[in-house]
Amino acid sequence: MNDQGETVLNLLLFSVGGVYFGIDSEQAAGINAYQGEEAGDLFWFHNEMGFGDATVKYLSPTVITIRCPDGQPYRVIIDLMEDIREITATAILPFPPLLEPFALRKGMWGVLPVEGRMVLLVDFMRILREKRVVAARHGG
Amino acid sequence: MKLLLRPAKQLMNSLTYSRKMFVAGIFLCIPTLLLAYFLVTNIYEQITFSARERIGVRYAASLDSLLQAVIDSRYAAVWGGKPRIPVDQALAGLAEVDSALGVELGMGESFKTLKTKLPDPRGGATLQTIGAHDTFAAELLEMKVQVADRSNLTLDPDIPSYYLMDALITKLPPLAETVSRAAIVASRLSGGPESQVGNRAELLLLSGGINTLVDALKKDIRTAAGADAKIRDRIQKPLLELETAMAAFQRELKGQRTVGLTRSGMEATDAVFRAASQLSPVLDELLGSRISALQLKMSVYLSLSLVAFLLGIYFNLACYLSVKEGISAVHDAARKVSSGDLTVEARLSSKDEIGETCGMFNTMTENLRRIIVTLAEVTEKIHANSGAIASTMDQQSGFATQLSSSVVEISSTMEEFSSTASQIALHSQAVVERADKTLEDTKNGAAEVENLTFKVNDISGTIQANLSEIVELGRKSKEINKVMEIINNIANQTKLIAFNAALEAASAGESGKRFGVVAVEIRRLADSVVESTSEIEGKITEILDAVNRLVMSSEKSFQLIQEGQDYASHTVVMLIESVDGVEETTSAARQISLSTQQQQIASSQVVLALKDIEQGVRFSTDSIHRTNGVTEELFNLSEQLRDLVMTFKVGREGEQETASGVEPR
Repeated sequence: MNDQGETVLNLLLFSVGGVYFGIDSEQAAGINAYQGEEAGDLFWFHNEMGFGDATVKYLSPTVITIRCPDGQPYRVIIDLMEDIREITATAILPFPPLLEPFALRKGMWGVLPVEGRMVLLVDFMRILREKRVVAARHGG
Repeated sequence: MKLLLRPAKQLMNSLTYSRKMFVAGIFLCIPTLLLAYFLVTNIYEQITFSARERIGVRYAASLDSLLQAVIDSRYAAVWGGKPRIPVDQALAGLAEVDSALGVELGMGESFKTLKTKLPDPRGGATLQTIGAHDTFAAELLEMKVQVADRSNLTLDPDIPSYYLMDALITKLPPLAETVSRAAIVASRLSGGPESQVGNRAELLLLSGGINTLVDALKKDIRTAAGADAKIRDRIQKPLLELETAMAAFQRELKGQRTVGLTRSGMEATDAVFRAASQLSPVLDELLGSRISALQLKMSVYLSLSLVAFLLGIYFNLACYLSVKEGISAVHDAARKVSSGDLTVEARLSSKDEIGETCGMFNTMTENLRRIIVTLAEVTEKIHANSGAIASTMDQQSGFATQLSSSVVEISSTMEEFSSTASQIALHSQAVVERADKTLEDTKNGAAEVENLTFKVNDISGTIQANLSEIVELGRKSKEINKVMEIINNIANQTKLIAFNAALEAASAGESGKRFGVVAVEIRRLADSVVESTSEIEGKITEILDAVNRLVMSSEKSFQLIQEGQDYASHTVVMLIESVDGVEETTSAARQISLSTQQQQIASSQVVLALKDIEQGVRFSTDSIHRTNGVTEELFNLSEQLRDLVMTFKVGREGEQETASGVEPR
């Protein structure tokens, strides 16, 4: 809450493939430069978001370590880090009802207009839960 | 020959063709008619001739009858008795014949005279009476000869008829008279010796005369019979009887028996007159046959002449019509052609010269038509060409005038050129001097260029050194760039650290806000460093580009300087060669000076020649004007010729067009 009694959020803003995204800074445990390493808990953002076969070029790949409640490692490779900005909850716009089920299924829960740009807000926890549900269904 | 034919030719030239044909036909038919006329006339004369002979034969037969009656009367006077044929009756018969035929033969006077001498039959056997009979018989014989002469019997052209006539006129009557007198004389011998002296001698003479006449008669009869076999039997039989009677009479004369002499004398006399009566029809038949033959001949001649005449007229008319048709065809066609109608065709089917003339006329008309058509086309072309020539001549006239003025201008220009040539001669001398100066300058220039070459070599070395320095500068700029990359990496790491610090500050809550402000400032500082390094990288990149361009430019400059060195070397060589060229130029300038002076003289001559040309152009202009007049006259003449040609009509069948083939313009 801020001084005016409004709910505020600290959003970590970044871009992948020219599209701006934002996550709650509470979900980021750390940020490191990507050194080309590969690991089972390291995922490319475009694969996590289901960009499909589209080729995504990362100019400055950066690894975000997601803070998981159960302590399981979960890291996502994003591109340029843009900013860490404090915003009020009223500035966040929900998806249209027609698109919201599909957007939530991809982990996107709102839209934030910033300086004429549209930032898609992503919930890595929801993505992780979806992955684990899917893995459970497939016996893995 | 021509002189002989000239009048006839003049006559024919003055006549139309139909009259020519008429005159020619007349003069061709007249000879036929004349020939037929002469032939028929000749035959007619022969018929008349023979008819007159037949009249003579008939008249002579009457005279024979009278002679027989006279002889019989004399027998009666001498020997008594009555004459068998009365002299009056015989004379009446002769008178009847004379009234019918005497006028034709002109025997009127002779017959009158004869009648006055007629003996009296009542005189008895006196010597006077007998002498009267003798005289009358002699008159009869003479009259018979006259009849023979006047009836053309003595001129008979055929042998049988002529000898029969001779037997009938000159042999048989005298024979009868001689036999009669011999019988009378022989009868006197019985009177006594005194009467025998004179009578016997006379009887001898008469007997000899009888023999002579009989021989002559036989000769005549044989000749006539030999010439015509058809009458042979008819005339030989009386002759045989006559010969028999004469032989009997001769035997009685030798026996001197009075009774026998009288009877045989009368029989001999009768035999003579019987022979005469038998020969006379034969002669008449011969003459009749001749007349019939002549009449047939005349009829044939007349028929042939008439047929020939009619055929001549027929073919003459056919020839006239044929020729007239041909001439009319040619005449009509020629009349149309003379009026300018060349489409006419002379139609004639005959194959004679006129038909060929028609064909040749048609060919001639066709050729003339082609000629006229060609002439019309040629006239059109001449007309068009003469018009074109006239306009061309007008243009040429204008050109000639312009040429004349141009020549005048050229002439004046050449005069100016001549004066200019004098100036050029002066200037060329100056050029010679300038060329000498140029030669000196060129030698100096060669030396300067050689010095320039050395200087360029120095510059080349300097540029090469600069190029090495620039390359070194580029390499150092790249090293700076690497340093800037390191700085940038550091700034990025700093930025990440600042982000992590901001995250930690955000997670620290209210207590981490101050630390978050520091983290934000560090991140902004890192961003500034990144931006600065980016700008530095951009500048260094620009420097590297500039260095590269400078290197490339220096290399290009070095190449250019190298080429400049080459060019300078070539220039030196060329300047050395130019020295030779300038020397030649100087020599050429001198030659030019001399040539210019000669050109000055030549240009003066050209001025004179141009004046001659100007005069020639003036003459040419006058000639063109005259030619223009002639061309206009030619144009007018071609127009007249076209009008003349258009008077001819040369269209094909069913077409009507003028000779030019197009509407007259």
